[in-house]
Amino acid sequence: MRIAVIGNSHIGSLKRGAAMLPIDEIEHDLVFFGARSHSLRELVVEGRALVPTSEIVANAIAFTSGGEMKIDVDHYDAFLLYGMEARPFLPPEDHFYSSAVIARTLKDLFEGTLSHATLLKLRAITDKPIYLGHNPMKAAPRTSGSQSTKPYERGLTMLNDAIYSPMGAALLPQPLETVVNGNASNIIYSQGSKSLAIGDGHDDALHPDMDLNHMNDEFGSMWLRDWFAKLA
Amino acid sequence: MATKLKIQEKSSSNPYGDLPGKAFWRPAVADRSMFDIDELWTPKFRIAPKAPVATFGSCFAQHIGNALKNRHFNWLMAETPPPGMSEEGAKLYNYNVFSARTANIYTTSLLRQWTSWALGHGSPPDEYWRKGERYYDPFRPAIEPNGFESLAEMRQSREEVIKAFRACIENAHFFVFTLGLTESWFNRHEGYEYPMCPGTVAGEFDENAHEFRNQGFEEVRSALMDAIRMMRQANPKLRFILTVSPVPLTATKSDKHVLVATMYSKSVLRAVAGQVAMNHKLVDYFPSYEIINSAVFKGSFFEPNMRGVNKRGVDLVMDHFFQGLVHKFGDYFTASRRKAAVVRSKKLEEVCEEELLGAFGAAR
Repeated sequence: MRIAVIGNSHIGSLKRGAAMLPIDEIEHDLVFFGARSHSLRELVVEGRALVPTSEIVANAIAFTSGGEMKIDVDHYDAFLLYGMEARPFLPPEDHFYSSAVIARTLKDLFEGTLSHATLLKLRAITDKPIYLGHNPMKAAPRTSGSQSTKPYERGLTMLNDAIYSPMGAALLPQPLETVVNGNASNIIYSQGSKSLAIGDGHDDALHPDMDLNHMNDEFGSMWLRDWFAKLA
Repeated sequence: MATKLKIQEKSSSNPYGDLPGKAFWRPAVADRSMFDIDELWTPKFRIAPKAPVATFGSCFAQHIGNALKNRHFNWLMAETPPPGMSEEGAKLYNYNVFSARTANIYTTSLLRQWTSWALGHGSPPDEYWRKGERYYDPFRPAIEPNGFESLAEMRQSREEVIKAFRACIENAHFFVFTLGLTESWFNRHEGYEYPMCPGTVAGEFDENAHEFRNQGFEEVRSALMDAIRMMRQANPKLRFILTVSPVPLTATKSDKHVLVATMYSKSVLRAVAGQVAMNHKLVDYFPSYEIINSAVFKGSFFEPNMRGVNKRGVDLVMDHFFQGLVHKFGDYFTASRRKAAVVRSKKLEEVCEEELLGAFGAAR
């Protein structure tokens, strides 16, 4: 499949992670469209494409994609929206919430995010499969508490049932082996994380040690391998 | 001349001679701008910033919790929204309003009822209300804007709040309760109390089953003392700060004019709070009611409807609260207050089911 991978700073780890994968493990043709922070919010629908409206984003997209100036939906079989403020839902195990409260929370987790806005734009011009990868969970050291990922998985199922499936999209988990304490990314995957390269002076710059939100290249490789296995 | 001197000597030795300035109207009030009036509260307890403080009661109690949070005190929150719920969502579903999702506890008898359920001295009745396909909790009829999807869900939600209320009693160091109303509605046959008259927010009014009571001093006092005793049994370290809501009644069923009914209600509540605080060293009274309602403040802190308290009034009340602590115990939370200075000013909107009664008078 030819897949457009669209995202903000978080796709840095995926892009570099893809480059680390052995050639026989790269089962799909990935084209990355990245720009830092919220700047992809400016993408507009023009014909059958998402088009940048500023030079900065146009340059970032061209740099990350290897020369593409827009995301033409007819050129791809599927789309992955990665990061872009998408969040998992971690339902607390020891509290009861009404179905209305849960429904409102699931909506709050999605609405207004960059991934929401981009998903709506894509859905306006294509029926092809759209996958989403949420922002990696904040990194933390493993503690002695529960390591169960069941609540995380249950939360993703709830989000998919209520929000993503009705839009013909699917929210994917981060690899479960990267999860610690049931609600965090193992801190080993945030060490050595780098910024997304878009052709400026900050390309591939190491994030500060205190940055627990961005993951490293190894995480990116694992994420893609995990996803490819699911696609197969 | 000799007579005059004698009088002066006498006056300097009378009980008023050594009183501080705050004891005299002229220096404490008449000679000052209303914004310079101070020492309105001499707290009994030092509230350490880390000490968990539970807040419950009438509409005005909500401001106390927010003020504690904004000044980095430890506002105890035993029932929180799910992670990821927006602030707007949390507000709509009545999270982060009080320390648990009891909704407004307007009367001391309702406080006693919740306390009794939380500590296992009683259990909630089976009564539930239904509107269309949705179920409503008679004891928190507006807690979810569209009720619950099933009876089982309504009951589970109530179990959750009872568990959280118990956690507040057991874990708080201070329990702040704002007394709001004397007018109350009871189930005539079973004796339990509703926070709102059945048939207003939800449910159906039945004059054979539902009884109005405008509680007097002794009823209010004994219910409050019962609640305090039960809570102290569960948590012997718990101390109490009482306040009286300055917010007038939305409507009265007392057959009196609503203004007269308001004055009655607030006078009773104020007297009870004062007496209980005076008689019990573990109970304090904070004069939020006076700060808003005293003629000295000329009604400046009310919204144009003369009912809602404006943000300036709320801020002034809470400034007096924290200034009282500083005056008595020194500026022990300066660091917290510095942080508070950069906290974004939150919009203060009350969640006040009682206001819904106003709808029934709208056409008049």
